[in-house]
Amino acid sequence: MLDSMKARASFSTFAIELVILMIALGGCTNGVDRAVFVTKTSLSVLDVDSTPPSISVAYDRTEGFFGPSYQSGGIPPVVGIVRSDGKVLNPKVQQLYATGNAARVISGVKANGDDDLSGDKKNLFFGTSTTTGLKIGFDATTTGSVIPNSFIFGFRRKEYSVLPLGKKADDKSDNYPSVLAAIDNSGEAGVSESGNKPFAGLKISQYFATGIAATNLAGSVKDEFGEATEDAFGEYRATLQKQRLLAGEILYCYSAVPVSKRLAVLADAVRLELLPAEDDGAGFQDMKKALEDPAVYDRENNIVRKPDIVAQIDGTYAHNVYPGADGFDAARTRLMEIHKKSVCETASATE
Amino acid sequence: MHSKIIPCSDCEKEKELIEQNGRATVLECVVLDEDKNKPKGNQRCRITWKMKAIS
Repeated sequence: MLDSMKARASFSTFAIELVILMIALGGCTNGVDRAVFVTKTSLSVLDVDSTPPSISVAYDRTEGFFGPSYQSGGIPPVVGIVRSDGKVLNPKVQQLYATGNAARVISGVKANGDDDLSGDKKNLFFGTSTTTGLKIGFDATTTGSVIPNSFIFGFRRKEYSVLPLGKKADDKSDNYPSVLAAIDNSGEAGVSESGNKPFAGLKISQYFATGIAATNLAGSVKDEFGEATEDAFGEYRATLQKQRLLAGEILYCYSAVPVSKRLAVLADAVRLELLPAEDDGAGFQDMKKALEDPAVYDRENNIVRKPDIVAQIDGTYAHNVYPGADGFDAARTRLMEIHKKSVCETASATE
Repeated sequence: MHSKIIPCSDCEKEKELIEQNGRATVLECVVLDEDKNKPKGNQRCRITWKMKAIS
């Protein structure tokens, strides 16, 4: 009982804050004679540091609509869309804000379209608040290559609507007005080809719409989000996420394994079929040959003579672990757990 | 050569992920024969890629 009261209080507080923001930006309004549509977006790269390498990205967006809902069930159409390609340096950000006929056309309906905005009016409120944060740390290894060693992804989202029900033409059944709020954020991390430049990104795709614009945009958003509603792919995504988290943990431990012990780690990965023995010059046998070559790694004196070659080995191993994660192969999860234990024990033993 | 099955809607994303550090090149991402008649959102694809040799 107390938890549900706290949840309602939390949502109510958010709604009040959003309405205050909208009124402050839109002036006083009685809600039924004018519509207030507010969006506020902040995308910032907070910290790109080189020692130790780390990247932090923060995204904050608030969207709100306060206006009339008609007895017919119609709502004045608005559309707000924001997209970012996720790059930290030279990001591409697209933003769209439209109301009325512009919103209709953007959503694929003709201007002065078929939405019914007739009958008595009542106030409605629809709002969302999103905060996403991404912090990725990289470890500079003794060979000069860089491997992601920590991945923190935070996400908080609130969605709230108060929508008076309209009446259908038969005056017997209710008409629930149409609103849409959709979000698709994803964080990523990796290293450059040379292995010594980290990169990370936060890709964003967010939609907000009301009325006929919401109904029409729902079709295309359904295609984009369609896979999330399929049970078969839902399980795939859950398994993939689990394996990618494991991959991050494996690579974190791997970064602490000295070069002298990496061959044992790679051999373990081959044993568990996470790394191929032969792979056209990129398999374990090629890695072994390189690491046993004194011109590449002087084992006797523990000196890395060719750090670029060792970086290629590290990058190839990381590639087999992270992008190699396979959501349709649930058995791989267990193999990765076993490998993680081995890699982390090897890393701990050398501390 | 490497390959794995993914939802076809993930082809572009996986291609970017696989090629991002320059250690691999994606060769193709094709719909499985048994999924060709399924709705687009339900189709699975086989993505195939090749690793760059260590040199």
